Amino acid sequence: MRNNFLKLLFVTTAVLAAFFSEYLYAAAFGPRVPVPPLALIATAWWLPMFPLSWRLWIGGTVGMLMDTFGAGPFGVSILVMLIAALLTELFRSIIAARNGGIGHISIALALLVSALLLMPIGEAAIGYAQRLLL
Amino acid sequence: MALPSFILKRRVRTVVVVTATAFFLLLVLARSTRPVSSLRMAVVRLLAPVASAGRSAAGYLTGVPRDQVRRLEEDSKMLAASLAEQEILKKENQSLKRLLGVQEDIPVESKGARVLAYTHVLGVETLLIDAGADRGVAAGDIVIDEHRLLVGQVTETTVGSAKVSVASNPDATFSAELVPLGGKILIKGLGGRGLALELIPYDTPLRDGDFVLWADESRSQGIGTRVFAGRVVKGISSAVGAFKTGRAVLLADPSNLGIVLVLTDR
Repeated sequence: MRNNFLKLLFVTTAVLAAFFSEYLYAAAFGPRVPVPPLALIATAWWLPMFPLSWRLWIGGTVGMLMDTFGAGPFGVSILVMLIAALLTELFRSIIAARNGGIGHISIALALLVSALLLMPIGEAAIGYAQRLLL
Repeated sequence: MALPSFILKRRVRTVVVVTATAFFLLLVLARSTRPVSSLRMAVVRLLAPVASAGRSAAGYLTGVPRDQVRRLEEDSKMLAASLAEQEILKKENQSLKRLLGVQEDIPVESKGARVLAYTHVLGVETLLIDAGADRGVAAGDIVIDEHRLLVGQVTETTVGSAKVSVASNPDATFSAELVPLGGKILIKGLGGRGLALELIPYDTPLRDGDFVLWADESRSQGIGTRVFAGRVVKGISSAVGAFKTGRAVLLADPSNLGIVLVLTDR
């Protein structure tokens, strides 16, 4: 358990550093150079290292951060990160994730790609739900 | 009878998983309510120093060289000297604006708002402003800067804040007019402050340096809401049938805005 708290400290630092770097990158290179989603990359790297219950909280919190500042409607990143946190469980059973190893890199990459692919689907789903409710 | 520890652990884990899922789903479903809005504002305030530090660090890294500062100081003096000429030009400008049909005063209701955050990820620029649904701001409202240049459109509102998508984002489309030679066209955002000018009638003249005026018929009809959006940088790039296309750049600089105006149209 203590190990998880230490990892939480690392993931928090990594996400904050990524958020800081996004501003630095955007200001340094100007509007014509697209800024990579560094916070999402940091989360994809750290998320496979946690058990499911931790992943959901961490993923949801980072999703909330991305939704608060990001372009999409609020809720898209939260839903995507929750799905990604659940999907990691499936990946973990296929490849043994050792920190920094090939398994971990594969899971992190799969998670990043899944999250990026899920974003427009999540956005469309939220839009559809909004139209349905209104 | 006490439960075995592994069953107890599994139950605790299940409760935590269900609680986390329920909490975040509730956040999504109740995103427009006051508690969720307050939570979002708290996140913005909490991370504002990090964002500010990022911008400061970028300013330090891309700092203007000393000799350039001296040249800028010289330029500043020259500008001060030309202030006298400005008054004459202002009068000339006013008469030209009247001729072009540009409204000097915007008659629609506008609400001032502070920019809380600016983000730019994957070519999509977003502003977070401190005026929300409680002040009458709604999705679709137009946002301009203090010089009346088009910044973007409100995409989402909460109690106390709103999200603004910059007009040059890839999903943005709006109708516009060319100034000074006239002609209605369609504008599409390209990302990175670039605007694609489309559906320009073949006989409409288009020159580099001309201006693009945002002119949404549904809004501007009868209320005269007209604001400058961009400047043509590439007159004719291709011609397809009866139409030709071009390129323009957004005049506003959303990354350096402190205050914006929201045209609420109500």
